Amino acid sequence: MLPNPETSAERLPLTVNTGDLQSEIVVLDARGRLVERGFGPEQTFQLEKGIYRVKVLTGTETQEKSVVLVETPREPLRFAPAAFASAAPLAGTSTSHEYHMAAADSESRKIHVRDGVGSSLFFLVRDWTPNAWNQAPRVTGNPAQGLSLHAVKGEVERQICDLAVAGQRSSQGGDPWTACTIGVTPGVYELRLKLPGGDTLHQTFVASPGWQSQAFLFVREYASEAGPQWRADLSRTSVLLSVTGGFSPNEEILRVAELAKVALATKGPQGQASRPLLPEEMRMLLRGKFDNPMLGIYGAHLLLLESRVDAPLLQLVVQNLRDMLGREHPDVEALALRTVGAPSPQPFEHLPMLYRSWSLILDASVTQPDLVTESLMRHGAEPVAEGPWYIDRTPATDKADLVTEPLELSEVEAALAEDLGIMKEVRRNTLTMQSEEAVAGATPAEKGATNLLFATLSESALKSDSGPHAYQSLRDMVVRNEQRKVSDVEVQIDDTKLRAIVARLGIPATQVKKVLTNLEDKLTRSPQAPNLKVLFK
Amino acid sequence: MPNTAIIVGIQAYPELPPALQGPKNDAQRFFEWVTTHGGVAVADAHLILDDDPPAPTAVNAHPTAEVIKYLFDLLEEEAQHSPDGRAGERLYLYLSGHGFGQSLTDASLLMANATKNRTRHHVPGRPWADHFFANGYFKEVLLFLDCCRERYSTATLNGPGTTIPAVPPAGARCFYGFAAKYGKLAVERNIDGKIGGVFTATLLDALNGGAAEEDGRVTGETLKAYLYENMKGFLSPADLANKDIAKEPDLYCEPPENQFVIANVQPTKFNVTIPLPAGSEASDRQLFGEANGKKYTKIDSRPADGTLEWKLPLLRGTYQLIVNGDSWVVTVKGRGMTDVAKP
Repeated sequence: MLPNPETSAERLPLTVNTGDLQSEIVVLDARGRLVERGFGPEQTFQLEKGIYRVKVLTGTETQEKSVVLVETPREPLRFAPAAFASAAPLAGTSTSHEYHMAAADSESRKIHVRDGVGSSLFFLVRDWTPNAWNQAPRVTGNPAQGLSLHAVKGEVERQICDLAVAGQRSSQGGDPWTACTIGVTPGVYELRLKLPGGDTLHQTFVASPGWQSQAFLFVREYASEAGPQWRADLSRTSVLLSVTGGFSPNEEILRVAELAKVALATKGPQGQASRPLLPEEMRMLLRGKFDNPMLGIYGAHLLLLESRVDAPLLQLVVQNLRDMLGREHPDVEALALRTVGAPSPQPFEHLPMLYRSWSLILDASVTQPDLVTESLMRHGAEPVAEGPWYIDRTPATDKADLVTEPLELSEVEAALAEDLGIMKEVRRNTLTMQSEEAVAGATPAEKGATNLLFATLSESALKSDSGPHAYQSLRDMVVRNEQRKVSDVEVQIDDTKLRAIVARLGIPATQVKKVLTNLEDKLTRSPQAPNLKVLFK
Repeated sequence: MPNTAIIVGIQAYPELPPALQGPKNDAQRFFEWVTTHGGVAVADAHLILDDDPPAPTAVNAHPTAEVIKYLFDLLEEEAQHSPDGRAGERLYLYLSGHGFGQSLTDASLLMANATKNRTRHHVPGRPWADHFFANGYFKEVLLFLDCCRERYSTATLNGPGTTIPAVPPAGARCFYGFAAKYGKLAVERNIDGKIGGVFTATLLDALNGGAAEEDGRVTGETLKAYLYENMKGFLSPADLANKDIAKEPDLYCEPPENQFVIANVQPTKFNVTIPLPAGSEASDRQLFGEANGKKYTKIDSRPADGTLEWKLPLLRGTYQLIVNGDSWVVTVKGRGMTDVAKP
């Protein structure tokens, strides 16, 4: 006799087959509640009888199928490999033209600029549209416009080339591209992008001995006074490494590396969640003698984002990376900071490529004050949130106005003052709600200057039809708050607190301490702010 | 201890195009929900809107971050000086306007005095919500941020900066909802005759019963399921084809998600018309799905009625239609939109 499918609590196997080992599989029940998660290329789930929706997430793409599970399925639920978006013109991605693949393949094997020997950097900047041959190109200028490569060592910097001038540009129709290969001595280089508005973006690229670093960039529109203009989109850069000195669009491992980059760009620390970020097949790949260093770097960062770090695997990956790329790669050396038993890195004099690497360096700077060289600390650009990459920006002009004019604090000082509770005291002193009589008698200027809160909130209370009730509730809180005024703030900073500050401000611990000293001085001089005393534990 | 809501809607940014038309409507609608179904007394629901008429320049525009942060200060002070260390049971933070994404896990609302080069005038959502949640100032914290999460050239964040305890107090719950995933744009559209954010429209549909279980509970789990599935229902085909526009929100709920009861409301049953396959006019029909705690059970059956339609009230969800011995999958989405497909 067969059990009644409505009442049986028996579980049935559902096997899901995907085209990529890094595809994430999500099983939802009939009401869309999350039931199970897993990774490709094949995973079997034991599920109650029911109706399910299975989603497969591959890079930027999602595929979905519904399944009615009332008996053991004869076949796995199959999903084809997804064509995801990638700036690298790889086979099987959704943003590749054959002529872009061919250009990358051929131009990466030439040298357009010779600045040194022992390594090379290849850049391909391109636009991509779905129907390029049927329409006029939307980018009429050189896709590499504004891009230049620089050698930076301490305070000394030198422009190597302007990519738009030195590179090979497409001469046929279709979506335009510019490619440029630069022979260089191994080291750390900086790609700069001058934006239409005058700001400059900076991004690190590492040329390792015997390797070619390949960077693939789309273009995007940037606003300017003359209207939108197309320039390279640094946030979506794809970086791959080749030991053969050329790009091969059909190399399967490059697809795996590219998917690992997407995972790194879209996954944060897992905190208490025990969910793995790397599928077992990927771990096996990393356990073997992998020969794609970018895959190793992305994989090691993903390991570090998991709630329980696989320390032996991390150690193995970092050792392999050092064997392949040497001891000068800032991203590999940043990973070594978290690797038990790995020899300590030298002080960092260059920014790493990945934002996660910079976070590791910042964190370690709390207990290793000399980890970041003076020259790197002095680089004045501000970090920009740009996908997985560490990109910073030099503004065209200095920032004119200060955050809190009465205190004359810089942006970082004001953020730090907020961190330490100083701004709360400043607001208590300056944004107090005066009595109704005082407000009634105040001049408009006085109201504007000192009664911002009152003006804003009382007006909004009327808008919400809550009228005097809302005002009364707020006024009671304000009155109680005013009675708690303090004149001095003493803050104790231990390593945990310093780590939190360093992470949020994005600057090394030594620099944070300098900012704190300045802040103490400024607040001591200001009559409107409480005095600050910082004690390091 | 009271529940509290801080609701901010900013649409007039004198120096930050493009112009918005939805945030004030959205803030008002959320205020109405929170004071009728969200358990917040009108006196404890602080609705903060931008200047009307709009300020001519950014430097004179309100509200500023200082005002919002002052409200946060007041709540923190209340908590720190109360016997149980709490300012209330539940805190709602609802922020709508222009914004940016500073990280994978957070977004910030730009204030009315922000400009392209003065993005420091912002309120980051998550650090403040975490501050109230992890320090136990409120037992439950709900953050809803209906703004873009473009990768902006971000300013240094104006967060509370306290060291967040790694483990929140026992029984503490939180739900954070961002209108877009990192790097994506949140959009506003004409919905029910008013311009409003697609995320807020979906959120309010969910809270008003769309996301309710059969017993009326809207939990962290069901709210996530509803929002993930239904935001795209308000988008046009052009929006859906645009890679920059968010089709799904970004959501986080402290586990166990099904234990966090966000609201108790009448569950929405949609009057659904299921189109039946050609040639099945003379066939009986059966519908299976989830009901009464069973993952798979018969929901309804009808004898043939000579038509190719089956009208019946259904909760949102995925169902199996059996007709003519053949199996079809029926998906009922928010507002009763119904798809029928072969499994």
